[in-house]
Amino acid sequence: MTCSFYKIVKYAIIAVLGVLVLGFRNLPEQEYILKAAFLERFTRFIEWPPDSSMDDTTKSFVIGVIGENQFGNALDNLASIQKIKNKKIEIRYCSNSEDILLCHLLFISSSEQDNIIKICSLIKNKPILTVCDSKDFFGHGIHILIFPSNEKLSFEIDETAIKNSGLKASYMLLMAGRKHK
Amino acid sequence: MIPFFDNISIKYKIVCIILLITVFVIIVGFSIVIISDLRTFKNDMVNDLTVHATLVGEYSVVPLTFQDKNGAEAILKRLSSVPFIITGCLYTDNGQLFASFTKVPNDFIPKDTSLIPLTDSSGPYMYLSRPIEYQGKKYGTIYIKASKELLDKKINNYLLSMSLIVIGLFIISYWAAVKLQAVISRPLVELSEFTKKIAEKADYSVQLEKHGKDEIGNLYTGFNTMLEHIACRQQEMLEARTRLQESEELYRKLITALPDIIIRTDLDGNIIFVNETNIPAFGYSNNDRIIGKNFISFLTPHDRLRASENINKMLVSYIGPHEYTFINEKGDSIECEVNGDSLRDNNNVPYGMVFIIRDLTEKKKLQSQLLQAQKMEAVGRLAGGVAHDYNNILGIILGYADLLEREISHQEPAYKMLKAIIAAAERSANLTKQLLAFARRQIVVPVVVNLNDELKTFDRMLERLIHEEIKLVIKKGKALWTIKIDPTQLTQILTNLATNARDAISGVGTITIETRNVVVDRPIITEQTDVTPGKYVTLSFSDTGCGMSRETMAQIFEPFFTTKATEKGTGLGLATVFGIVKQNNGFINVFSELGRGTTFRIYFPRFFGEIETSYRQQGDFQLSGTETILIVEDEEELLRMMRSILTNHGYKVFSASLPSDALKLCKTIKKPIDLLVTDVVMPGMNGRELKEQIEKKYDRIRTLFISGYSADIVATHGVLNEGMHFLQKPFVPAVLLKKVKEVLHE
Repeated sequence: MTCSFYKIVKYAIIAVLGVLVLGFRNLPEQEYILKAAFLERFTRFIEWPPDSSMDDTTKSFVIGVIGENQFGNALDNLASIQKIKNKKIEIRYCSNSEDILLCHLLFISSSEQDNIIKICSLIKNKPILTVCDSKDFFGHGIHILIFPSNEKLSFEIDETAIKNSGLKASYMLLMAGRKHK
Repeated sequence: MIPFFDNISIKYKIVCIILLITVFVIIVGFSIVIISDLRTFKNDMVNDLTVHATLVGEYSVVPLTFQDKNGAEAILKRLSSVPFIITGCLYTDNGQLFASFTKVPNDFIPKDTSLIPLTDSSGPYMYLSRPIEYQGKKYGTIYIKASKELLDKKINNYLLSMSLIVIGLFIISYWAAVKLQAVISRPLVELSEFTKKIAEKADYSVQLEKHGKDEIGNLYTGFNTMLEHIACRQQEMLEARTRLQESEELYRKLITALPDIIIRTDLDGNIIFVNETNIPAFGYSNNDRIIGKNFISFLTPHDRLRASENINKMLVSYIGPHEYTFINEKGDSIECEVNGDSLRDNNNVPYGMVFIIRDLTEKKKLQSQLLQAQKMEAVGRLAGGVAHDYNNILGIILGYADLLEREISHQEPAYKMLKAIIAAAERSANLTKQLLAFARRQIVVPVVVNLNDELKTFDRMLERLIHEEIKLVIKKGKALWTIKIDPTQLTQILTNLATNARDAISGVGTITIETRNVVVDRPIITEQTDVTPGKYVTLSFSDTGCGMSRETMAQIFEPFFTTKATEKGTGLGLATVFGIVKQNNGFINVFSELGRGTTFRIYFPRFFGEIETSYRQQGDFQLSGTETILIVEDEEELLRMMRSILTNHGYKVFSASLPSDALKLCKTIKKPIDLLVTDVVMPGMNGRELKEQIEKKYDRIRTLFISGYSADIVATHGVLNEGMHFLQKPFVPAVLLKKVKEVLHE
C-alpha cells in the first residue's frame, strides 16, 4: 500500500515536472501575453481605410510578427479565441516584404534592429499599424511603442506617423498615448 | 356679484379687475416658467453630469481597456474642475471599482456598482452612474456624486430674481391699470357725476359733451337723446302740472266760493275732507270737529236710517238730492239738501263718496217770503177786483145816506136806521180799505211827519179804542228824526196795533208806545224781512197781554190769520200793518212771550230831505163854490150822487158816464171848465187819458181822480204820482167837497 502511494506520488511529481518543463518551454512571458492583448486592444481604436477590406469578414485580420517571436503562442491563442473587426485573426510571422505588406498590424520585434529602416521604408505611408517595444525603433515611423512603466505596460503613439499611414486612431487612444510625451 | 364690489368706484373695479387678471396671468405664467426653469436647471445639472460622465467615460475607455488605473485616475481628476462634482468612480465591466476621485475626504466610495446610491430628489446630493461603452462594447461604469448646493443656490437666486421681476411687474401692472382704467372709467365717472348733478338739480336741459364713436360714445349719445326726451317730458309735465294747478286752483276757489259744504268720505261714511270756508256758517267752529267723524252722525236720529239706506243705494247708482236735518255744534237744527255720489276707480269699484250739503234755511225763508208775497198778490188782486165796484156801491150808499141824514129829523125813527146803514157802510168801507192797505193797493200820499207830533193827534183816538182798565203810556224819543208816510197809513197801523193790544189784555194792563232814533249798523235777518243797515225811527208798541207762542208768531202777518173770535177779528189787521210798513221801506220786529206780553217794534227809515209844509198847516175853507166842474164816472148812480152834492153846493156841474161822452160834451161847453173829476178805470179810455185829452182844450183845468183801488195809471207802486190829486172811494159828501175845494184852491 505504502509502495503504491509513493509510486503514485513519484509519478505525479514526475508528471507535474514534465508538464512544467514542457509548459515553460512553450509558454510566453507574461509581458508578451499582455503585449499580445495590447495588440488586439489597439485595433479597437484604429480604423483602416476602406480599401483595406476591413468590411469583408471572410478575410482574416492579419497580425504579422517580424523578427524574433517573443510572444510564444500568445498570439496564436489570441487568434484562436478572439476576432478583430469581426474578422478571424491570422498570425503571420513575416520573413519577407511580401508578408509584411499583407499584414494589417505588424509587430516589429526588437531583434530587427538592423532592418528597422528598411522595414519602415517598406511600410511607410501604408495602412499597416506598426507596433514595437523598442524605444530605438520609435521615431522611424513606427506607430505605437509599448514599453513597461511602473511594473505595468504602457504605450506611446506617433500621431503623425499614424496620420501619414492613412489610418485613423481614436482620440481616446491618441489621448492615452499622448499623455506620456 | 361680490357685495364689496357693489360699493366701490368703477375705476377701482377696473383697477382691481386688471390687477386680478394681471396677477393671475403673471402668477400662472411665472409659475409655469419657474417650474419649467427649475426642471431645466435640474435637467441641466443632470445633463452636465451626464456630459461629464460621458466624456470621462469615453476618456476612460482606453484606461479601462488597457487597465491603466493611473490614467483612469488622471481622467477622473479632471472632474475636480467641475465645482458641483464631489466624487467620481470608474468600475470595470464586471462592476469592480477601478479608479476613484473625491473632493471630500472619507467620502463614501462604493466598492462595486451594486452599492451606488440612487438619487433622492429632496436630498443634498445627486448621483449618476452610466455604463461606459465603446463601439457597442461595455468597458465599465462611471459613477458621479454631485452636490445640489450650487443648484439650490442657483434656484434660490433665480427665485429671488423672479420674485423681484414679479413684484416689478405687479407695480407696473398697477401703474398701467391705474392709467388704463381712466380710458374706460373717466367717461363713465363723468357720466355718473353728470347724472348725479342732474338728479340733484333736476335740470334736464343740459347735455353731455360728445364722446368718441365707441360704445361709450353711443352711451353718451343715447343719454343725451334720453335727456332731450326727459326735458321734453318734463316740460310737458310742467305744463300739465301748471294746467292741473290752475284747474285745482279753479276748483278750490269754486269749492271755497260755493255757499255749500262739500265733504268727501270713505266707503264707511267717515269724513276725510271738508271745505273749511263755510264751516262757521253751519255752526261749527272748525273742521277738526268734522274730520274723522261719520257723516251720518251729524244728522238727526230721525234721518239717520233713511240716510244709511240712501247711501247704500247711492253706492249702486246716483239717486239725486235728498233733504236731511243736521244738528250743528250749537245744537241747532239745519235743514239741508244733500246731493251725493260715489267715487269710483278705473275698475268702477267705489272707494269713497262725495256730498254737497246746501243749507236750505235761506231757501226756506225765501220760499216763505215768496208764499207770503203770492198770498198778498192774490189778496191784492182780489181786493183790487172787488174794491172797484164795491167802493162805487159803498160810495152811493154812503153818499145818499149822508144826504138823507141831512133831510131827516133826528127824532124820526128812520134816523136811527139811517145811522145804522151809514155805520155798516163805513165798516164795509174800512174793511175794503184794510184789504187795499194790506195788498198795498191803496193810494197813499206820503208826507214828512214827526212821529211824536202824530202821536199827539192819535192820543185821544187810541184812548177811545182801549177800555179804561188799560193804561196807555206814551214815551216820546228826544230829537226824533222825521219820516215820510201817509198819515192815513199811520192811523191804520196805530189802530190795528191798539186793537190787537186791547184784545190781548184781559182785565188790567198797560200799553206802552215808544218812539226812538235807532242806527242799524249790520244787517238784521228776521222771519219777515231783511233789514239793511241805516238810520231808522222806531215805533214800539208793547202790551202786557197774553203774549204769543212761536207758532202763532210765525203766522201773525199772514192775511186772514186770526186767533180772535169770528166776529171780533178779520185776520187782516197785522197783515195790513205789515203791508204798510213794507210799502214805506220799513221793517217790523216782534218780541213776545206767553203770559208776559208782546212788543211790535216798527222801523221807519229816517227822512233826509227838506221838510215840507205840513198838510195840517193848510187852513180851513168853505165847502161851497161856483166853479165849473165836469164829472166823468161810469157808475151812473154814483155819478148822479156826486153831481147832486156838488150842484147843491153852488158848483156848475157837467157830467158824463163815459169818457167819449165827456169829450163830446166838452165840445159843446163854451165856458171854461175848472175841474175834471173822473173815475180812473172806465170803459174805452182811462181817467188819465181822458185828462190828457181834455187838457188839450182846457189847459188850466185841474183834475181829481176818484177810484176804488190803486191803479198804475195815477200811482206808481201805490204812491200817487207827482202833481196828481186822488180821492179814495167810497167817500161821504163832505170829503168830496173838501177834496174838490182843496184841488181848486191849490
